[in-house]
Amino acid sequence: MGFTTVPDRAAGYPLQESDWDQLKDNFNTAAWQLIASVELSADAAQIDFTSIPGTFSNLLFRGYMTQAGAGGAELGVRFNGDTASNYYAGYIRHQGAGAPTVTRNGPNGKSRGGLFQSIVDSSNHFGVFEMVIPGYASTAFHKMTLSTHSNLCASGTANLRMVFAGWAQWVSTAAITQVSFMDGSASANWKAGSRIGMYGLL
Amino acid sequence: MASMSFTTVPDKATGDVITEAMWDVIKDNMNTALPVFIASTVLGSDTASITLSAIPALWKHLLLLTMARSSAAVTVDPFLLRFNGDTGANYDWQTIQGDQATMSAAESFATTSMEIGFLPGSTAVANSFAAVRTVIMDYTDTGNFKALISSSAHRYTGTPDQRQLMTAGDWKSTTVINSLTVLCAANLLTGSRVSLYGMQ
Repeated sequence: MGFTTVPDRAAGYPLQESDWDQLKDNFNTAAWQLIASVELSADAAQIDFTSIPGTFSNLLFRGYMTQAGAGGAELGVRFNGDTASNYYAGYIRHQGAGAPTVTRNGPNGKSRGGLFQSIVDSSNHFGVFEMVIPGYASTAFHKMTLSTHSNLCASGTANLRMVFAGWAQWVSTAAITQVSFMDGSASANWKAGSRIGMYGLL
Repeated sequence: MASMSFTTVPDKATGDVITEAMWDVIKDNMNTALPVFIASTVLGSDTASITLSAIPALWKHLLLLTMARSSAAVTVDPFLLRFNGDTGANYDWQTIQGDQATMSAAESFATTSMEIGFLPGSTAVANSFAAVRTVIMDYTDTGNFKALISSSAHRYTGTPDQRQLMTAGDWKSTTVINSLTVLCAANLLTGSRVSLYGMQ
């Protein structure tokens, strides 16, 4: 079902079951739904979303995160616990005043979608990302992600911020039931306070 | 067009009667403040185009999410969008593209459709579909032309060779958008799908 406009009602109008049903159906079959959210209370290597129902058309993730410690973590994703070399990824990257660049990688055991890099004074700096997985429950094609993310990579200097437009492909027609976010290039931890919300789009 | 924002729904005690004011809070939140699903199509057979029509003028912006593949005998086929069935030369757009390790930019004026992404064709790697995310701003504005931003990506060879495309474009019309059509040079393959959402 899709959205149907909720009608106005006059004072004194006795609400009908059909009024309630319209609200119910709009909430249950049209409104975006928060499926789950995670906020780390301690540094952790992964943020997992498991037992994802197959009842939506698309998934949307929004995150606010950075790695613990020095160096850089990549926005890495793994589906259904698949650790085989079934992931391709790439991104267009823009940093500072330089021209954008494009790169791609794979096949790897997890996607590598661009840096989430901590900096020396990173205590108050987290990166942000948004990622969609269209048709995540379909068995007709290999799954794709589209993402944008940005984070600081220096402090008060040139090349201050990086912006990424990324993609990843999981070479599988299986329905996605689990999504894990991890360092795509090594095994750095996500810092406490990192958080991701997962939304179901009908 | 309604443009209200979300109002916190108050708590009520057992036995309270739902008043008109309470109903209005729920109604207005539902009608004007939540992002909602409008329509979707999943192709059961190869089809030349997908049209989503009778789009209500209830929201501020539209979000279109697509997974699609073309039947054209190429590795990369442009993915095109039209509004309200307009096949006139009314579309302007600018793109930046990442192809393997090469960046490029392009622009087109007065075209009969807008390029919002690239799709893998029949000679691309098997089972590879493109993901496309398109945001159409102020689709009910009758004072200005319509603008959109779009991004897409797909892999087209067994190596990681890929096409990424980001588009910014205008439909040079002040008409309210009430339908949209997506198409490519050949057919959209079985399993291709689009979902349309309304957002404030």
